[in-house]
Amino acid sequence: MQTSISNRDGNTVIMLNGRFDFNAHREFRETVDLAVKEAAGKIQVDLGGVDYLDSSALGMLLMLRDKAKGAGKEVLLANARGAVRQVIDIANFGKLFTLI
Amino acid sequence: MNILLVEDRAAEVAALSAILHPLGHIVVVCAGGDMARLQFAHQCPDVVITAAFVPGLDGFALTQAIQQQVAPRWQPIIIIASECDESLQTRAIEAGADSFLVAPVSPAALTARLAAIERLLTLQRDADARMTQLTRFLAAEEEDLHIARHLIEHQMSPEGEKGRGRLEDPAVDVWQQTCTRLGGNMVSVNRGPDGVLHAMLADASGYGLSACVSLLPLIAPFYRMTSKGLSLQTIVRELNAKVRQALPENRAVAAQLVAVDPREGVVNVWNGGMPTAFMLDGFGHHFMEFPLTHPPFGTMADADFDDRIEQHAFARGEQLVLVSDGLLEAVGPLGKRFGEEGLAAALVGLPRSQRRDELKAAINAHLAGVSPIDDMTLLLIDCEKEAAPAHPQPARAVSTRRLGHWHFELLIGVNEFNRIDVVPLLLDVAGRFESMQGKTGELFVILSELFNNALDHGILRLDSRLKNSYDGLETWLLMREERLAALTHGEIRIAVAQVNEGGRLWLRVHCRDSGPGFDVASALARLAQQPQAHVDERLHGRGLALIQRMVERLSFNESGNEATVLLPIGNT
Repeated sequence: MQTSISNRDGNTVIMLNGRFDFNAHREFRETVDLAVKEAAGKIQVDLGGVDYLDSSALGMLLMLRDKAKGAGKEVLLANARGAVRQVIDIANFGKLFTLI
Repeated sequence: MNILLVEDRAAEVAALSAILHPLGHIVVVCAGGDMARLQFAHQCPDVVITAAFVPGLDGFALTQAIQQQVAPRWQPIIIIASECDESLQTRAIEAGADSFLVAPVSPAALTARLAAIERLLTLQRDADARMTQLTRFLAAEEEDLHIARHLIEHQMSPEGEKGRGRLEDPAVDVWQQTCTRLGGNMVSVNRGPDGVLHAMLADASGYGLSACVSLLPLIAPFYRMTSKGLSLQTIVRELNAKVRQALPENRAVAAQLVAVDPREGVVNVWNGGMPTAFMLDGFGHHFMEFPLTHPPFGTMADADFDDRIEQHAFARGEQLVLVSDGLLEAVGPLGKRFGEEGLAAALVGLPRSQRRDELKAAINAHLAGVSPIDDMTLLLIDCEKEAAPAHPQPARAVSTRRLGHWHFELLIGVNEFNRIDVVPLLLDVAGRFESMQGKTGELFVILSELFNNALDHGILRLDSRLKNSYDGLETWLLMREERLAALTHGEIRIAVAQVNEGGRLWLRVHCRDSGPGFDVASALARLAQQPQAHVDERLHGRGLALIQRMVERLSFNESGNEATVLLPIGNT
């Protein structure tokens, strides 16, 4: 998986690309640490480039949410589609995150 | 040059010889026309120089007689008259002379004339040599075509005692028209010991004998391997190697191979460089295609050769249509090609039994008497599932037979856990099957959860509760690496299959690890208690719930080291 961070409209956007599963753990964690530290506004995770996602990815998203909450920031999940959207929906993540 | 001089006056002979000899010409003198005619036949001179009036046949009659004799070749003749008379000049040209000179002849004029004639003679000699060569080539070509035709008729469409039945297989209908140069189309048909019908339509590049020779390496291996019941993949790989080995580098053979399995109800197609093959339903409607997916035989080295096949599970009354490009490219008198449209139009709406004759009529109407420039072949193959056996088979046999159309499995051991990224590998293989289009997202979740459970918990015995904190995840990761490095035994087997059951297609995934398993009953009980709308905020432990909500069925064996998942993927 590839990750990148950028600023959009005052929010911090984490772009993810490729396969989001346990193998992406370290990379995701580094990006999250950076994002939470630097973020001015909300943290938006853009899932538009993610092909696949499994339960460990869900765990990592929750990890980000906990971490962001500790820093007083909100996490949004953006552009989930297809199979990725299906997994997010099955896990009822709509109740834990704002989906945009 | 060799010159015949016809002149009865000694002074003239002497004057002309004085010009001709120093130029190096050989001169034979005749004093009369009749004698000159005989001498001409004997001497075959390059040039005849004759006086207009000599005893016997005069110069004009002699010229005419000689030109008639040598026609259609041309004999250079110069007529010399003692006066410059226009009517004489006209007579000379009409009689067939090249030049008309007036005596006394100037040395310069005669030398120039002879030089011009010599140039023309050289040209004529070259043309003659070329003509002789061409005639020889044509004869050789004729002989080659004769051999090629014999090969095609006897070797390639074997009609011997064993071969006879092949092209006459009731499921196969062939129509073929070869062009005069022989385009190198070949059809081979054979049934394997398991009743699988194999057919090959090959089209060698080039024409005539060279095209036929290119086809030869395919014949014996095709019949040998199909008779043994080898898989289509094995056969195409071997044929590619044979062509590559037998033919020079720039020769390739386009071919399409088909295996129709009447028991499984499946047709496999490998298309290397041939036009798109397609399926027709019982009403002649074109509904599915097998496009060109591979380069022709002989193009790729074995290491790069791609033996992937396209697969289709057929229903009642379907027919597979293969054509050679000669049929599609057949150009009629208006310059229009027959094309895919002509082919589809000729076949649509027709019952199977009429398609061959109708196509033949359509192509003949299209060509309207124009000779085809390449071989044209149509191969129709009925795809019909074998009727169910009259007596019920033992339950096991029935269920085995119903296992569906494809199946693969991966067994992976200690040394590979770290090296092979198993999930994308399996996903890639499964994703190539047509029925998995649009389903890879779900399959990814299934494979990822099952494999990671098997490895992390089944084999490595890691406790997922570790993952429940931010830093715990890191600890968990380190422990995982440590245990993987220390692992000495263990294996995971994952099998993926497409199953046809209850009129529906299912994807079935089995995953078994060599570990001791887990407490299935309480895990499933916990899952059962979770309402659909349950929001799980733990950082771990949602894998099974995820699968369960996504698929039709998730089950485990008693000890918990083997999981089975069924995912609906469509109706049959």
